[in-house]
Amino acid sequence: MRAALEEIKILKSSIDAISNIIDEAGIIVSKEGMTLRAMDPAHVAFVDLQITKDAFSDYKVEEKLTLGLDLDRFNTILKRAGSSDKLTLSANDETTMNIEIKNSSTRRFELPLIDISEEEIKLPSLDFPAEIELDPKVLLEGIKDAEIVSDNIIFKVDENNLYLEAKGDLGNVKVKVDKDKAITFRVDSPCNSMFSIEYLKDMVKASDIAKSVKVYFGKDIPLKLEFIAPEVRLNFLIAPRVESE
Amino acid sequence: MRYSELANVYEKLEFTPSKLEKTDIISEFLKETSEDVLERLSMLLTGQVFPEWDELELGVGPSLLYDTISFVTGVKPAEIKNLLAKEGDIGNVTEKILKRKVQHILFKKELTVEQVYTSFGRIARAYGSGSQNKKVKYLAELLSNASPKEAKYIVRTVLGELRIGVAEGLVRDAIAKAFNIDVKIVGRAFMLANHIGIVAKAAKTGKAALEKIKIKVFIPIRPMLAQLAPDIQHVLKELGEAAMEIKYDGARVQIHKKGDEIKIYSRRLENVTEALPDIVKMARKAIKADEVIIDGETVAIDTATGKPRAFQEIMKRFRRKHDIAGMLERIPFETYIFDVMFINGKETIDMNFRERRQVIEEVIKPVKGKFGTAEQIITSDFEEAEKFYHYALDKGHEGIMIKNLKALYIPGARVGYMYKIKPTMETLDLVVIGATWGTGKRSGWLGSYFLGVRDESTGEFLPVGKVATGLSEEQLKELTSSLKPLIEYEEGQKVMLKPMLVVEVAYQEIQRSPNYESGYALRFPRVVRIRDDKSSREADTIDRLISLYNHQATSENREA
Repeated sequence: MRAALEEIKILKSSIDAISNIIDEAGIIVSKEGMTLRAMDPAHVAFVDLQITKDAFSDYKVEEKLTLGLDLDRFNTILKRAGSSDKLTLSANDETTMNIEIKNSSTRRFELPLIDISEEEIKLPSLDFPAEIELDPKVLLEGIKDAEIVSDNIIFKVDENNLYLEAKGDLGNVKVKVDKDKAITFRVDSPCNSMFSIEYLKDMVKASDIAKSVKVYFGKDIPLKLEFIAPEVRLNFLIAPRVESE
Repeated sequence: MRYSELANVYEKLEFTPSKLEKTDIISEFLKETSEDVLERLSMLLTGQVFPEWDELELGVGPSLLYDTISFVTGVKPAEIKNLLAKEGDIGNVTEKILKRKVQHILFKKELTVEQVYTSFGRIARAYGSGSQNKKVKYLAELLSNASPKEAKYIVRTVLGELRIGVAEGLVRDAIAKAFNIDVKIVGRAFMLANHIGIVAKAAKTGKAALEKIKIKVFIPIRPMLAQLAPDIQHVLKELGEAAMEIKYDGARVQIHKKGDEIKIYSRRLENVTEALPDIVKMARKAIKADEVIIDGETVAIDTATGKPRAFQEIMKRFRRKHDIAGMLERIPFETYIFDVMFINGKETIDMNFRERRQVIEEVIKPVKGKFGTAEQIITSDFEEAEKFYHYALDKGHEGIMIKNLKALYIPGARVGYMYKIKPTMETLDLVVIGATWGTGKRSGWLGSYFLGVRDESTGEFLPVGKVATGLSEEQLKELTSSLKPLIEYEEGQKVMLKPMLVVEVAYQEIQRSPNYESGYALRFPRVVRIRDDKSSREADTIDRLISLYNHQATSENREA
């Protein structure tokens, strides 16, 4: 396979968002594009990434390959590329991947691939009472605000507003997003859920590739983030934290 | 098999104090277990994932474990440590945390015994940079899918403290009972295979399969142990003509050879080949047999004094991982062989000692001052024996061994087939179970040590007092650094430790004491040396302590 990318931010930001959550994963390269679906070891978060072939300036795949990646290493290499560089990924088999960064020089990295044991992933089927589309920056800033006081963030909605809240020993943070400021706003019933900021702050690293993000949640059920960007599907699912007395 | 079934049995065992009932529970459980998981299951029942001679070990210390628990549950490590200080057991703490687990997961799969065992293998095999991370990941996967009860026993297994009062001996008895086979046959197979899982599996097939378990080169055998005798006369009266050998003041080695390949195991059956290239070289030169397992002692003779160096110095070399070449120049070893268990495809443990000695003499071509057979005389004469004893002491060795010429080699047993005679008073090998941080000049060091004596049937350690004297500053420093990774939790100045380190303790007297769980305390205890060559499972037992107590001259009759 051989895939050249000019808009390299798509790959850089996606992998940057994923690599802290998931250590190892297989990218499936097919004629349609590249997909990565994986769950973190603690089964708290799930990621579903697809970059369609149209995102690439040049895309050739003879046969379907599963490229087993140490995502941390892959991310380290991608970080070496600047936004105006051209990136080419190529692999002849499932043992090594070549990463070429081209600008005023041609830099070539060889990344050994690893065996990925395929695990069957069964996701819960979910009905979300709240579905809100936002500017990704709103979510990003809200999570950064919450992180000042806590490891946890509460997503809460009523008929008119979305709230992001955090409570800690050092004080409380409350971010309010007016219904009218959201791109779309659907709430069947008021609800709230708590999540680990540790995971969310990695996920929102993908904000810069999306023009909007859809947030789905409910009462003590997982939260889904859907980053809306052309030629890319990037969804995250994260299990809630539930305080029981 | 579902892991929850095993967790239920663990729980039943934990709350059944009677050893007989425990044996029944295990035996019933083994009977119902299918052959394909029996091996792994039996290992897990003893709380040991790999046999001690296997190079594999989990390598997850308390702090890495707490990080993992925190990662999985969302509870901070500091809170885990707080709970631990109150609760005293990481298993119970984990169970509690998981019951009120804050962090939910997206999906759960039911754990099986096979999966848990496989994950333990992956944890042990993680190596290189990032290996700690990988260990956390594999363990997190287990804990995320575990029920609170399952998690309790997984974390206890990881730390090597199952706390269900089951040691290998009990599992051995249960195997015998489950498959209706004489416990002696099961026991013998265990001493040879050193793997309770393999023994369980063979026992299910039948007695014949157990009897087929033979000594194999590169699987170490538990060494036969000597009994301490009060004096030479006593032993000579019992044995008549006997063999006397120097009791070399060194460390036990078990040398396995097949063709050109040589492996050396320590007394606790660890593979120490890498650290001892000089012994390997000498053994290759001196041993004139293609395939052999021999038992001996290695000593470090100080060239200046001609006397053996301190035991600690020898252990330094056994533990050495770097600059091995430099070490072997500074501390050269001499090795003396005194027994043989296997030669050219044949077991020799059923030969008598006179015959075995002949085999060694034929097989070993001594390399002077480097590798040979233990110096020996055969006599029934007291004066000659006494002379030999003083000769050994003059050379700076511990004393002599007196061996029954007609006796077989019984692996792992302390039977009256060989006696040791040495001038020092009896000491106890006890396990350091806790310590306190020193103050003033000793601050930053773990100073005073809480000692535990082993309960053989349960594998637990019963407190028998504390010791604060007998160690040099250098030893204190060294001990502190080897104890630090074993810290389970701290309570003020006090730390509780994973019971792993063995120290030899001298004392004036054993007293009855209601203050300690063992029911006994030591008067004026003093650390003689650190026994790196012994694992905590070889520490002295409460039975031995009681027998010493019963035989000691009491203060009253000593004064009389």
